[in-house]
Amino acid sequence: MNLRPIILGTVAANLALVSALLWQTARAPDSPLRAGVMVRTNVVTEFVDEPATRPPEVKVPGSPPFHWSKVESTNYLAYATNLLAIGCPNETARDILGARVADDVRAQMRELVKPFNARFWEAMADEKLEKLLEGTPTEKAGEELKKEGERIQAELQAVLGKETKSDKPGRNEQLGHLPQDKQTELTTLNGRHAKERDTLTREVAKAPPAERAAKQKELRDRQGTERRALFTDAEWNEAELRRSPYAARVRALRGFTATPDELKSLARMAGDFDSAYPRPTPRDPKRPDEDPDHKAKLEEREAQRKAQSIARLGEAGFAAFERGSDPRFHTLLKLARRLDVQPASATQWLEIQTAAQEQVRLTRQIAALPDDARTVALLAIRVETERTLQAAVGPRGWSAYQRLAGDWLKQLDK
Amino acid sequence: MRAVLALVLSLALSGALLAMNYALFRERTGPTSPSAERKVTVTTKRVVRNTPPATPPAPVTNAAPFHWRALESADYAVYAANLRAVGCPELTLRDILLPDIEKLYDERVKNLEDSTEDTFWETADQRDARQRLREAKLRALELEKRALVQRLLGTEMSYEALTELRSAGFASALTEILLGFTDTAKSDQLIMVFTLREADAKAQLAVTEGILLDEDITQLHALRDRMESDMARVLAPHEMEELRLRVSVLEGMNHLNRRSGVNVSGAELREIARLRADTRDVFAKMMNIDDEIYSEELRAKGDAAFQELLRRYVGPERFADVERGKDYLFRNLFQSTEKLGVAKDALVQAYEARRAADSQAQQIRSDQQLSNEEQALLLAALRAQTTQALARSLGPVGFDAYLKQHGKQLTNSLSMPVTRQRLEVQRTDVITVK
Repeated sequence: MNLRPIILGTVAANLALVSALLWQTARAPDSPLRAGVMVRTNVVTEFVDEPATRPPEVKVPGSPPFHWSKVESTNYLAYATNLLAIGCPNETARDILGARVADDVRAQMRELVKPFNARFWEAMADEKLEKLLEGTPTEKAGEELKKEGERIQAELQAVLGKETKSDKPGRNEQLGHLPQDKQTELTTLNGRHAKERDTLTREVAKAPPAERAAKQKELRDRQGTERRALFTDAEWNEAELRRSPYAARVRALRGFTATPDELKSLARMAGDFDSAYPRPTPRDPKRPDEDPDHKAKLEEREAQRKAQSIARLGEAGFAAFERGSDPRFHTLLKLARRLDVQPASATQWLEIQTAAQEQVRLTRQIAALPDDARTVALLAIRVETERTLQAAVGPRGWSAYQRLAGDWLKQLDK
Repeated sequence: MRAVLALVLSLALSGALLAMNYALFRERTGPTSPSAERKVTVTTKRVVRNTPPATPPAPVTNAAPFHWRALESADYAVYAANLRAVGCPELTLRDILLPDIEKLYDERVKNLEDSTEDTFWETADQRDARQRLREAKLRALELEKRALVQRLLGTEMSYEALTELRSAGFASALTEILLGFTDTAKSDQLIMVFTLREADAKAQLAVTEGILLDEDITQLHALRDRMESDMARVLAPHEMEELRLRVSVLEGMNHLNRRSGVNVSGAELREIARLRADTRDVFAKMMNIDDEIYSEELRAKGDAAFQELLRRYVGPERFADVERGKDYLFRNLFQSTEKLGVAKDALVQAYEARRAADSQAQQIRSDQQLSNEEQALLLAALRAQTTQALARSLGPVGFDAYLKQHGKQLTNSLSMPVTRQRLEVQRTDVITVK
């Protein structure tokens, strides 16, 4: 019997079975749940002692450990003494005790005014708040409470010392050109002078007016001499210039670029001009506008000032100087800065305003124009100006412009 | 024979493979049974640390005696932790840390200003630019300080407010009365919130340099809303309403009381305060930003609405009293004669005479056509005429009482201004010398 084909058949069948087995095995771990396998988790807790990660260590010296209750006391002085005994700085002890005393006084004050709380509205209908306590026993009790608080604070001060404030004298811009030591010297001198004036005021309070005035003048002169002696000539001249209205004017400029030396020179120039051309006085100071001669002199003087300024600054520089002194321009410059646009924009806005106002002035001057036509013309100027300005300022700044710089627009067609 | 053996082995292998295939097939497709569950054991190690309770940390005791130095630290967080660890009460902790932090930041502010540079010859623009830079630095320091305080104490706090609250005396008593409808802790919080938000608004306004864009107004509105919501978190709704009314009565209503000749009861005044609070943003007013966030027109509308509501509420006669009570001239007359039985009509008559005289004096003084001598003469005549009218209306006792308290003011208001009188004297002196 030839078994070879049967053997080959069984081998082939075995190979097929092996393939099937491999295929099934490969699929098996795919999804145990789908295969109906339930997984139960058995948690076993194992306790392991490990060194702990400790929180930030707070060392409290002393044996047994220190506790705040050891120093705290309802007796302020005892509390203060206890704090100092453990090395608490006086300043900190003052803070703690000062607050404690103030809080206690406050709590008592609250008790005192309780009756007013209950009838707050009735009391307010009687008298305004500031006057509610005036002349009442509560006011008196409050004063006593305040005095008691001050007495305790004074007692504590004896134990804890007084707070030392290192108040440096504030900077005096006008004396910034002086060396630091001279500034200090001057501050000290000014302090001494003020005390001397106070003393004299008390001394001569009951003296006859003439005597009083003479003594005060004597003191003023002496103090002036002392003060002057601290300065060199150059320093004194600079101080005088800084005190002058010319310095104030150049310092108030906006949108005007200049170095410190240029500003100083402009201030000097203005001062020199006023010395050379004093302001004319009208015949009647109460009615200067009714004096044509005075007006003419003023105009002439103004023309001279302008010519001198142009000679110094040039046309553009003079225009910038004039604009820089104009409060309208100041507001516009600030608006431009807030809107993050160039300062030139502020100049443009001001030019629009100046042009519109001039146009309105001319329109009002045309005598031949009938009233109706003038009203229409003015309204047209206003509408056109608003449109132009709104476009120039932009939507972000337009409402601010109207609020802060736009009042003149309302006057255009009035 | 060998072939038979091979066949037998092959068949046996086939059988085994068949059995294995069948078993696997059953396992995948057959019904689930308890016996088919796969048991998985997961072993978890739980780490048990020998730690003490989180708070307070266990003190480590040293043999050395306690010294304050052991608490202090350059790091405020450590300083605070040390103080808490020794049982320092929270309020005391606040009173230690707040002033300390304040001094630290005061010093830093001073250092900002410690420049010896001579900046006198600068234009306003240059000064403003420096000022803006300084303000920005100050604000940054302030915010840094606030954040530090919040981190250490767990809440926003203002040393300035605390100091204000603790200032002994009259103002403190008035604050206690004003906020007496709630407890101390809440009123403290109110003052804290108010101080902080008001400072925020000031800082916001400083940045704008007076140029408020729409976006600035939105931000100010937000600050105002934040203050209200912060306060509403502190107070119960009825307390919040009481606060609104009490603040409202303080703003421009000082004349609405019996001492100013307006006869209102407490309940009526409260109702009037409600009318005012309903026609004005009390919280914006508290923060001093109502002028900034509401247009003039809107504010005027609110004022007009209040006047109308008030007129309807108190009636025309008392409304006239309210109007008169606004004028110090009437209040002076009323208060100096109130216990002397002067009839209301007489008082009103005297007030009208007094008011008319003031107005005439104003006209005389501003009349450019009159010389100083002429003005002085007319004013003297007016004084005499007014004095007579007042004496007639008030009666001798009432007039005497009025003169005692306000005689000087009556004379001054119906005379030349002192400065002009002096000028006149000086001018005369010069003429005499010449």
